[in-house]
Amino acid sequence: MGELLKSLEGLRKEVKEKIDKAFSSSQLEKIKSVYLGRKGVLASSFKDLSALPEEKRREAGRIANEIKSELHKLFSQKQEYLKISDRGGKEEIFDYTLPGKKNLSGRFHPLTQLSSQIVEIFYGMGFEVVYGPDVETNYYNFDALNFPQDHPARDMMDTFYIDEKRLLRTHTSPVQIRVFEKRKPPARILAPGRVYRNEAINARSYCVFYQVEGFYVDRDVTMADLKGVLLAFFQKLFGKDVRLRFRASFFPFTEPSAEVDISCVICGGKGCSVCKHRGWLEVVGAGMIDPEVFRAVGYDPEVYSGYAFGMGIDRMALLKYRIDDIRLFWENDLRFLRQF
Amino acid sequence: MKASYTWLKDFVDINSTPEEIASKLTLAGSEVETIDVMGSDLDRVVVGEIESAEKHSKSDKLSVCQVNVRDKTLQIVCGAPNVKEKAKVPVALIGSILPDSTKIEKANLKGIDSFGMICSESELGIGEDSQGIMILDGKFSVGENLSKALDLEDFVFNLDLTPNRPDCLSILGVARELSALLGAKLKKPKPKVREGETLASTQVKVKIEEPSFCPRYTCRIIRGVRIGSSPFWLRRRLQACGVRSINNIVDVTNYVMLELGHPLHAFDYDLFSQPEVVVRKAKQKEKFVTLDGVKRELDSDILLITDGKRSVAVAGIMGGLESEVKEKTKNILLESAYFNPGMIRRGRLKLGISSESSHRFERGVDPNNVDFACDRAAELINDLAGGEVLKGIVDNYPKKIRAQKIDLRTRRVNQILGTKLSTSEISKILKSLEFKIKKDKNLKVEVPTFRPDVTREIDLIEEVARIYGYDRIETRMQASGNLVTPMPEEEKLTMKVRGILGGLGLYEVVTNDLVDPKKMGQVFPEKRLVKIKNPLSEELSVLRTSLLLNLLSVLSHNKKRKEEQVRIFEIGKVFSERGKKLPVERNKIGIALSGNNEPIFWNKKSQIDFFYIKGLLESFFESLSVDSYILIPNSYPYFSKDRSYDIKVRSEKLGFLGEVNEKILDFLDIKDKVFFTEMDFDKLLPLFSEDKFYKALPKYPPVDRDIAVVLDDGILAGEVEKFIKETGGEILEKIILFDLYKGDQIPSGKKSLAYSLRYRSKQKTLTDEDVNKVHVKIIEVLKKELGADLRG
Repeated sequence: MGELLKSLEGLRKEVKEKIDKAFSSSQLEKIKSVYLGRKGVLASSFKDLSALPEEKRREAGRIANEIKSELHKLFSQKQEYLKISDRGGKEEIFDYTLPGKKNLSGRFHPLTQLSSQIVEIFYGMGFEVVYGPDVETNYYNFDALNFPQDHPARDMMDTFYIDEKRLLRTHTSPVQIRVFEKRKPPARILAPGRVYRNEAINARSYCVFYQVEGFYVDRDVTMADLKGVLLAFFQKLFGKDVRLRFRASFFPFTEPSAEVDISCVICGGKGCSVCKHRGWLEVVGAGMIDPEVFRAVGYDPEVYSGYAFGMGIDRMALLKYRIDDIRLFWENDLRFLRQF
Repeated sequence: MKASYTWLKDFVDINSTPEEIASKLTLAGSEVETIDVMGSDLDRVVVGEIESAEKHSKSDKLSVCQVNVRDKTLQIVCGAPNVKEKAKVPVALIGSILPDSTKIEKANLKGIDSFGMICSESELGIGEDSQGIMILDGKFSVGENLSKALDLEDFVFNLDLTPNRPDCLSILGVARELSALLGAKLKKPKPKVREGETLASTQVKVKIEEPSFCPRYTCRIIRGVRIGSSPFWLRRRLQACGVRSINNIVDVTNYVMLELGHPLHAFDYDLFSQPEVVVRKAKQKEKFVTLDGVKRELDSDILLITDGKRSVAVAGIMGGLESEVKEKTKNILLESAYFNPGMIRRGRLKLGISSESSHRFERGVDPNNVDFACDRAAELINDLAGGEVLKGIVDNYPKKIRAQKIDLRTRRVNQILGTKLSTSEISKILKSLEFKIKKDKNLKVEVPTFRPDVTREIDLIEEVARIYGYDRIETRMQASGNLVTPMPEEEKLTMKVRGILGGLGLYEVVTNDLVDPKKMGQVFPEKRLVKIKNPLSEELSVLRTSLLLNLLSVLSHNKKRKEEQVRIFEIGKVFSERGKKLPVERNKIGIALSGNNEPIFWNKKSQIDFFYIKGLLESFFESLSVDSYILIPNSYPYFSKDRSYDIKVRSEKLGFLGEVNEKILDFLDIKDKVFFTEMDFDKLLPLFSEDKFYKALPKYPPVDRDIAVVLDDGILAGEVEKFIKETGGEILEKIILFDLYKGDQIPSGKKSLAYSLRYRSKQKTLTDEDVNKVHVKIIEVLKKELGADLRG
């Protein structure tokens, strides 16, 4: 008997669910005939009851009847709703299942979405937003940033030149110089913008990309502060679990210089194809601003110190959205944009 | 730069795994990108001894060998010409897989079974020799695993080095880093040169014409060498580091370069026309054929090594074809010099060649390591190729480059790093990198000349930080400094504009500033183009002067992918040249619309038209609280003649709007109508304000009146509205056009405009009389000024 009751209970659930989902009278009628009709499922369950011994049959019969009447009630209730809805209260059929009239909805580009997210995070940490020109001079892009003449450091960035003196900036760091020339410390600045590299276009690199530069100059700014601000930033962007790794590196305008890796946002550092099984992703170049840079703008490096960092937004967006081809950002296929 | 693990072990004791080493190097600034494992793929290749070799009865080229591999003797059919009895050879047993993926199986060659394969170096992937099987010279025990016997197992670190660290472009340099990082002693090689009686200085004179570009030139002479191939261990190390083996002399110069980081060059001394080395600048347009067989034109930025008459090498970059060491070479002049890094860089950029040698000279080698490297090479050449090393090293070093001394303040170290290091900790770190501490209290540090990157106190601080470990520096997360930072108006407006346009159902795009000048000329003709001198391609060689081309291109891309409705905007820069100053950069807002004007809906479908984009613009301005704007017809080459307008706000031209003309649509292969507007973001900026002040809500009720007038079709609705507004005065609150009708009941050439007017006073409830007075006046004015008739 236990089994029979169980199957009755299952039947009750099943029918209830079907009634819930039905959205037209014709659907409902069909369900009713399958389950509650003379030759329906419920009727055949009643037949099974007869096989039970007398005492149990009475108990089971009672439960089965309860279920039957409950389902009948549900059917007639739903029938009422559907009638109202089907008819719209008038003679003419009101087909509420016709598609609705949508409003247009726009989308923001994933790069500018991420960029404004980054700007907001740093703004919240006391950074001020400043812009610089895309076309720069050799002086701001290289000389003032302590790139020596005739030094292989100049090969680190393939540059688009307009003429001898003018070029498309290869990084957002020239904004440091433009800010330092205009004001005295303290300065805590964030400079987002486009930068350009004369590199072949492929899935991993594009000749234009977004970068964001951050720097802070004041008395007693140390490398410990740099480590702190970047950890805070990445925890806000990727969550509390993210870890940072600082590696020694070289940039002409910082000393000491660092490459900063974050624990892989995909695998959490265990190793996967995105991080090439290293567990780390290289995302930021950073360091303590070189005294030569301060000298070039007339700051006294004995009084002031500062940190600077730069990161590629496109690259970070690749990681954040798990995109495998950087060109998608610049192609603006609506099927791509619709996903963000 | 590639560094072999076993080679590194020659110079520093390592107890750590290759992975641990890689991680330590990476964190200290010599990034290990990958580790190649060598020799592990040859686990079923053993040393065998050929007991007998007989000619195959059916082939002249094949031999049937019986090969002892200790536990058994295998019959192997081999096609190599150099098969000989008693030779020890590498044998790939059945089941082994060679590096080129060949699987060794039992085979039958012309009727005779073969149980394995005797291999050449190239088949084993451990050398380039594919002429015959590898003959193992020396003491090898039969049956031994080949990798073990030849010490083939190795790990090669692929290092991605920063350009400031020439010292790490050598095994010794990487070993030095490791010794500092591991706290192990650095074991430097100590060359012992067995010299002959003849003084080298009697055989060659060295003259440096340009001591600023060649501060030091040394050489040795080695006579009577035998040119041949290098022994396996040396070839193997070169191969591990990615250098091809040429012959024993050239190989030694490369070996020493890899080992010590100092490039050397060996000349066939018999090809010198006189016993002299002259280092001089090239003349303008002087010609010279380099090792690679290319005839090159030189100029005075290039330094030459000559024999006083003929040139023999481009100093530090590439040797000459003529003086190259060849098979018949007997006498050698071995050059070890120091060239000015900037000079090498300029020269190699001009010549467009880069070599292992120029790569190192350009970054700066150690001028005081020149003689040491020369001795090390002479020792090895003597070992491998015999001959007599003449007595003494000829050394022309007019002005010694001395090690720099720098003061280092402990306080400063901690101030920059945020650490609490003691003076003795700092000095211990620096000593581990072979810096000398001259004064212990207030540190005076002597920088070794192999570290040209360290010239200032801050550079020493970085050295301390690197070896101490960036990971041990505290992560300080408290903020300090100013808490009030302004957000620039540009940023605020950008956010606002994006929000409005996104809300109006537009997709934001970002496009490349670099565009095709030909297309730009067709679509948006503009003379003051900013041109790139060295573009990636002609198609990306100028900066855009408008967003029009970019947005149309995106539109075309999407239309071709069956996107019927394309509604896009971009906020981006456009550029225009103004002589030698930086170009003018202006931020623009561009909008392009095409296709349906709303999501496809089952009971109607309507295409975007002029009034749609105009409406969008109106909503846009409304959201920005910019109250009045007007369109003034203007003729733009990219718009249809009768759909081409300027957008003006407060008599300032803000941008333009119109329907893109067919010529341009055809050019970009777009089939549908496209409407476009571009506005100057920077001019919008002063119109935008976040200051908003409340105005009291109206206290009195409005009175609504409709008015319908029939007038000449030629009269613009704008004119009608203007008269209504002027006449309505203060109490006219709102005008809405609710119908435009032409056709039956209206004479031809006429139209009917129906307006709903709302009147309201700020002072009182308007009576019918109050309203009538004005309303009648409006009708009169329209009659008088525009010849309008009231429609019954």
